[in-house]
Amino acid sequence: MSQENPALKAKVERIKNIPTLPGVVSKINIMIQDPEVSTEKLGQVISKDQVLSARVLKLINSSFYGFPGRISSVTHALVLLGFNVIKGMLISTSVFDMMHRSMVGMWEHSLGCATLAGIMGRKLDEPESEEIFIAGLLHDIGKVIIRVTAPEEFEAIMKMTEEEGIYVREAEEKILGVDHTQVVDWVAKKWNLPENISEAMTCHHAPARSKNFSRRTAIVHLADVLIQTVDFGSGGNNFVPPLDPETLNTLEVDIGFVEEVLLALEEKMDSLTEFSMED
Amino acid sequence: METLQNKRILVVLREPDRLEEIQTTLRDHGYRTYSACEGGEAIELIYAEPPDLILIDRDLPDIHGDVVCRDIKRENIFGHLPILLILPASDLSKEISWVSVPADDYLMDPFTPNELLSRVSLAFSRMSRTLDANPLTRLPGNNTIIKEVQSRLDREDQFVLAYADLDYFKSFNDKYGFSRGDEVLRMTARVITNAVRQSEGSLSFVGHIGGDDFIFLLPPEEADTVCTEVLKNFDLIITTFYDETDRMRRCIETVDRRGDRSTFPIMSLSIAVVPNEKKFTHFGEMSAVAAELKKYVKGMKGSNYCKDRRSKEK
Repeated sequence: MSQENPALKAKVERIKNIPTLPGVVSKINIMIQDPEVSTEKLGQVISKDQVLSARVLKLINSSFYGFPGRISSVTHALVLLGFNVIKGMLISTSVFDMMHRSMVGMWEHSLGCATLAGIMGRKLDEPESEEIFIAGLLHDIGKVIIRVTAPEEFEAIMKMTEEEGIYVREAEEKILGVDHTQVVDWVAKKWNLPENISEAMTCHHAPARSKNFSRRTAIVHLADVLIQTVDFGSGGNNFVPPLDPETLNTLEVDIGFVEEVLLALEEKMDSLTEFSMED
Repeated sequence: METLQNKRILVVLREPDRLEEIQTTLRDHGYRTYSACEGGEAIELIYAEPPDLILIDRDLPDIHGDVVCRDIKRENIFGHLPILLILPASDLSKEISWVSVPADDYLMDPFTPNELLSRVSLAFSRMSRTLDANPLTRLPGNNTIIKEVQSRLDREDQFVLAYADLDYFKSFNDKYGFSRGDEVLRMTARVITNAVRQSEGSLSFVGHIGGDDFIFLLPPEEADTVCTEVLKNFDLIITTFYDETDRMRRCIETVDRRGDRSTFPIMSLSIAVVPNEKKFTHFGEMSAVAAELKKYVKGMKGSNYCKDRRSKEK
């Protein structure tokens, strides 16, 4: 993986406000006008949206609060930020000015991968299954950030992957010189995200590169592949990425486990299709 | 509220006529003033009769105003003493390194009487906002806590005083170092503040006594909800602040100077809750009951809060 593109890196590190989907923003706007709304209620919306979750974690891990790189759970972040700060943050949420139908697919893919990763974490009795969910939710945030910081290149990438029939990250490499996992690595460092989520996010296409959190990286990798085999959401195109052959060994599971988690996902499917283009 | 009459301002200026003018303006507005014309004389005066604020000319005949500033601020007890430096506009054309000139504000000469008064009263109000704040958590410190509790007792308000501290904080600090300990204190401050703020009313207050001791004040009917919330959230988050191996084991092991090993559980929070119920007249009485009760709560396993019942029985 190349790491060259200092101009993009500078832009990515300066990114202030990442927009989210209009449907999410209008839901949020209704909620914050309701005087009865609670932190828990806001948390339910935030923890399903990759952009809002990323912003919450970025905020609580900033040096201002005095424990950078420590918080990897959105639930914990919301408790520590407190209602007023959360509300202030949500008020300044913006919407994509130009929307692509593919964006909804990206949001569904993110939540689908997170849900699947969470199911696997619980089935395997992994500690901190919320962290695994978050890593799944944020694994492709790099694509959203590319869309914001390099919108023209993003369009070109989408066009190229369709026309040439290649993976998104291959098109990203060709056009930007880096792919979305490199972008994730940049922001994870810049935002002081804890390694216990950032490693799985950064290595989701190459779990062998994982050093300290190989099990949860394998889970996110497997979830990312599986969610595309069931054709739910979209990471940009419809090609299922290759599964690292070591994945099932790392997790000490067989194909029966895969069938089991897919069955469990089926039951949750209805609650996942809540993103829309409408505002 | 402290009145202006209590505020003593030391004015240090080379020019006697200007010195007199400034002193007159300040006196006309209720401040007490005294003066010096040289830096050396000023330093002597400051040690002998410490002022509440210093107004000092940068250009003095013997010692430079910057040096006087530095000498005074080097003494810890004067760290909070506001110093206003008077300087000519021409000084600002070259960059002043405020890191090495520890003044709190400056006045550009010439200035009007109104400008002078405004800067002086701003300096006092800024000082009262920041003086007592705990540097780690930015929560109000001891003096503010005592004042706040005492004024509620004087008004015979109905409230509860909650005295919280961490269990096994010292062993955590010993093993992980003080900066990791500081992170835990900031987290705890945040957990308490957010739970207290969520409760209704402007009556609530949170202060940081120092170390791992916190005090918060609540309307009596909110005490159970808020304490439960604080303990729940503390227990939820605290394990995150341990390394993974300790988190898994749910304890830490330390080795003391003699090489003896001991194990300590994951930190928990103990809260003693003391309602005033018109029994107390002084902060001291109330905090003594809280401290006594806290010993009892700390004897319990895990995070707990306990309400003082004795005040009702009497």
